[in-house]
Amino acid sequence: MEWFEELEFENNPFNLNPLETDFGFIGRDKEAKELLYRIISGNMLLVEGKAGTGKTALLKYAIDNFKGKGRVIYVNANKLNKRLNISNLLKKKPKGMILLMDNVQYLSKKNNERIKYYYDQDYIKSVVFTTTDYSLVNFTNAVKNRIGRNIIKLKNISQNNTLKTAKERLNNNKILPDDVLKQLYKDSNNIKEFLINCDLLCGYLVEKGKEKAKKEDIKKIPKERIEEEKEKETEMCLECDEKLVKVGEYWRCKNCDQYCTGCGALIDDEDEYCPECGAKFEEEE
Amino acid sequence: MKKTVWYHELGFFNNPFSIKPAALHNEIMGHNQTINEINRKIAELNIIFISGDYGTGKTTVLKKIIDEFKGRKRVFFKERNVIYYNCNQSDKSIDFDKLLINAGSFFTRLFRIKKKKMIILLDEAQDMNKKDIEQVKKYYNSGFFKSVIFVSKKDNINLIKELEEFIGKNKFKIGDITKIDAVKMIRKRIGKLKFISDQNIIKIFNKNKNPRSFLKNCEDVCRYAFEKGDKAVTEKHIKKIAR
Repeated sequence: MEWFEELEFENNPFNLNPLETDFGFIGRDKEAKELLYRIISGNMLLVEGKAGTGKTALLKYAIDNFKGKGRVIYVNANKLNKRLNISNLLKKKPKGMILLMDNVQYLSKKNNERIKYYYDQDYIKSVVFTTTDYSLVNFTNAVKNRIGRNIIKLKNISQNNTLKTAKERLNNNKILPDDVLKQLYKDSNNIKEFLINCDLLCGYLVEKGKEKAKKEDIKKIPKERIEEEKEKETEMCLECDEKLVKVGEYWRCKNCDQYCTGCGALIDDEDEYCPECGAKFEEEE
Repeated sequence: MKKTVWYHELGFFNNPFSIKPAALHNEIMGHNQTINEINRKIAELNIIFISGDYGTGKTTVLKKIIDEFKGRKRVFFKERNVIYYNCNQSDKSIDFDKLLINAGSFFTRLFRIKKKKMIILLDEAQDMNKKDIEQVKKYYNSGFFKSVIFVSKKDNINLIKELEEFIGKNKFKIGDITKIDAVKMIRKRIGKLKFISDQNIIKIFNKNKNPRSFLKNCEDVCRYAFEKGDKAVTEKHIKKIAR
């Protein structure tokens, strides 16, 4: 039995995947307003923020606001085949869709240009890109020019708002008092790590049968688990529902993808060398 | 959250300053003379080269050309006279045969007959490879294309010598627009709306004369002024927002 079930939660209140939860987000009113405006007015927008600052959560907010109309395409570029022609994905859709492109730094220059084409021809109404770092993205100047100043930079949210987030998620359960939450906030680099810390601490408390956390308990959080949880994303393959594995920097499906076991790049049958890391492949016997 | 958008409140359904090519109307400002010239050259069956920097209106000009030459739309017999192709759509070389077959009517498509005497617009021509360019020449010489329009952001791309000779003086550069055109462009989009005056439109235009940046500036200034609760755009708004 999971700790949150013992505390009478149906799902883990500290679930990390914004796409799976219905929690609102706190302390991002200005950004949320800007996001909705840019989408409605048919602009291109870029959201830039370090890992775990809430980029995908912001996209989830956009999905919630527009999904009823069947008008949103969410794509995580990290999971796309680098050789995929994005037109194949876009041309079957009706006109006026909103494209949300998560982790655009993994998308090729060609595909970015194609998005530009579909945007210009008004097949796509508006585009939201997210990335950890603008300088890593393969945008041509033509795309950069269309984005212009429409950039939202996400910073870490304040202590006050982080605490509010935790309390909202715990829904009046007093297992984590304020002083403990404050300490956890200090110990975490971003909201994602904070949630992991909360999750692990609650797990520890329930296991030991404690009803309320004390500051000393924080030291009991197994540090190695934090890294583990950060890496763990319950992402499923869209084709076969198998759990994806992380290889290098990519998420791959063991059944459906053919990838380089060293760096995770996708490969073709005839490839003798990995197109990205250059490793030589050997025939399986 | 209530979704109020400034332009809805001012009586517009869509963003009047949309940067999409010819999003709202077909008339374009500032390049009319160039377009007339281009249309004449196309009618005279020439090969044409158009260049222009980001956001100056290349694609908008193309849309105008398509409108001018596109075939009549008849039910069942929909034929096209103009092919628009964006050269960075595909990684492979361009399949001109397929383009020509698809341009025909239902029956000619059925028998895979290639349509002749087409006008072809090649957008982002700087991305064409050598083979594509050779093919263009071949199809032009054998009468499948009666007119070819290359569009590129670079002023010079490596075309083969024979094509260069065909192009000759038919090179057009789309540059920035004048301030009178800028005001006309905005008025065409927003009508006589008093929210922003002509003088202030010119002030925004002077901050950045590139048409696309100009539109973006107009949008951001109007939005800022509206969200501040002011009745009209003032110099203060422009100073704070336009770049």
